[in-house]
Amino acid sequence: MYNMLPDPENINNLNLENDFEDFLEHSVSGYISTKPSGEIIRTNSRLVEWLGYTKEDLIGKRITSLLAMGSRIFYETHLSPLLKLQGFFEEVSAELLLKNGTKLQVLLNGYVRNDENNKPQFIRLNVYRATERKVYEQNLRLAIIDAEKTLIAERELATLREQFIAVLGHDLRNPLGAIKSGASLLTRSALSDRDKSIVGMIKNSSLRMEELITNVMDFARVRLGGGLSLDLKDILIEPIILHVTEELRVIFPERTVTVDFEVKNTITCDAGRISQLLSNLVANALTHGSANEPVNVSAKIELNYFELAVSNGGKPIPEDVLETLFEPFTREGTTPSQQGLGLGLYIAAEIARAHGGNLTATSTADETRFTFRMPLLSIK
Amino acid sequence: MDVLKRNNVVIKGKGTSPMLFAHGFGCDQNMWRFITPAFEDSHKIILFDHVGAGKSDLTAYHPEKYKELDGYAQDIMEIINELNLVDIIFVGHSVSAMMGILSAEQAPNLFKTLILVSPSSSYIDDKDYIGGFSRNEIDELLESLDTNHMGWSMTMAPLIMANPDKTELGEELTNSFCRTDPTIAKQFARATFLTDSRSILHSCITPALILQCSNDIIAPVEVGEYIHKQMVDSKLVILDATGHCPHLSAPEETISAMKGYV
Repeated sequence: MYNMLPDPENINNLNLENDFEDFLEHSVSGYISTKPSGEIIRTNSRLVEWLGYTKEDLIGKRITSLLAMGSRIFYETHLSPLLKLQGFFEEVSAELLLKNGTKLQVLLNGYVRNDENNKPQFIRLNVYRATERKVYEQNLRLAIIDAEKTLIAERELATLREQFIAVLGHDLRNPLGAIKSGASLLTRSALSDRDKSIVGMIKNSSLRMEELITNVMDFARVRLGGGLSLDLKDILIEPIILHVTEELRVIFPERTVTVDFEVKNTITCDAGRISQLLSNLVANALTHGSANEPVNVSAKIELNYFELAVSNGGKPIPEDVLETLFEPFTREGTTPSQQGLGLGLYIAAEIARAHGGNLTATSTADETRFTFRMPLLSIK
Repeated sequence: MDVLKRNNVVIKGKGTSPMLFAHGFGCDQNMWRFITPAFEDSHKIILFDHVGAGKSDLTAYHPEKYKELDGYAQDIMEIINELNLVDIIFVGHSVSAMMGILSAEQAPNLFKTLILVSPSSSYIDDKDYIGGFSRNEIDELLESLDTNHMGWSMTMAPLIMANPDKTELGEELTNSFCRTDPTIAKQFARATFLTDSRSILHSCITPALILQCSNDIIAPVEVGEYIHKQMVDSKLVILDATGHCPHLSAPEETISAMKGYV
């Protein structure tokens, strides 16, 4: 009663076009109908072709016997309950067991066809060939495993690097501290001008060294670690600016640093980091600007922004250098010794970024200006 | 930890005599829906989802705890203690039948009877013991679970989180039956198919009804006969039903076998 195929002899070829039976029979996907208990009552040619059996071989067999073992258990434990509970399942990956013993990757869709009294009449399954898709999925899975391995290795390496830099920074600072205090003690007892000048050089070099270590460690934090962390507090910005400029006046006694600001409010920021930013900018201006012109520091609050600018005269920064100014290890190629590692501006920009603001630079024949702008934060 | 929430415990029925239903590998408490109505007038029905299945709390899943069936049996005992159940009729399908035996041995005084639906004491053939599978075949299953993309189950977690109060009708329309987190399903499959529970059978003194289907590739009749022989106070009924889930494929026959025993 299920064999409703018309006799091929009597079919007018022109009618094949409209024959749905023919479409199902010669479809590119496989069709199986089974009794509600799972015994096969009908299949189409495509499925028979895949499996390598004849149609007669298949009639009466249980649907699970066409599946490889993994899929067979899956069918019994997952798919069969789904058919009973919700009447269908879709897009399930399975393996057909072919007559020659090999397996064919397929996708299964299935549903239960009920009669008018809602009693299950048969189960219908669509079988789609999925060999290419399976290879693709397998490659994706392998890629995931591979990526996960690389990630774990990278993480371990990153931790090691961070530890290395932290330990290095710490270990470098300790002997440096001893050199600094030694030099301070010697200042008091130094007699000759020659001694005084040597002690002065030791002191300046150790300050320079300390700055380099701080920069390297900050760089490590930003690039290799979790970024700069801020200790946000409401602070008065005025004393900070004065303190930083005063310090640099001591180091560069022959230069002029002017200060101009109208900020009386408190600002939510990391005081230590803002000092560092300003110190880097002013030191940069003193090093690269014209020796005859002053360095100007100005600060103001405008709308919801706090702005801090450092400007100096001198030769303008070439356009192409301006573009990469805030990248790490950027330094003026011709005069290496003066500038350390080229991390100062990079770190200043990172500090700006950590505050939700930015650091920009303009340079003309009149002046070179670095401007730090940050939105006025409030402590959350 | 809210045990009832963790295992999505659902209580219904008008009676007082408790029946605790435990679903097997591959599904959730929905699989009892054709059975429980027959007992609702006379019993207190307690349904739950194993952690990792259905609407259980996925965050409660700890691979170490649920590596073996004991972890699941511990959950069953916690549900029993939380609800102060005594004289329990425990109904367990497939792997949960063994969890029922494990629990009954821990607290024999709390259990009245065990109804074991398509149970298996061990799935792997071993000398004279017929489990139904070779070790290679079980490995093939575990591997196929590893590689089955099961698009529908990957989306389970957000679906469940987003719809905690879904009605049963809604579930039917949105294909949310028997969803299992794929990673957990793999581990549950390991615990299910690699556990050899043969040694716990003989020491179980709780009366047990063993329901075995006549054509079940997961748990063949021989396994039912073996369990029957090992359990001191047991009755074996071979159902006409085929497949692994008689409570779904032949609920009437299953109910009448259960009522004949309870």
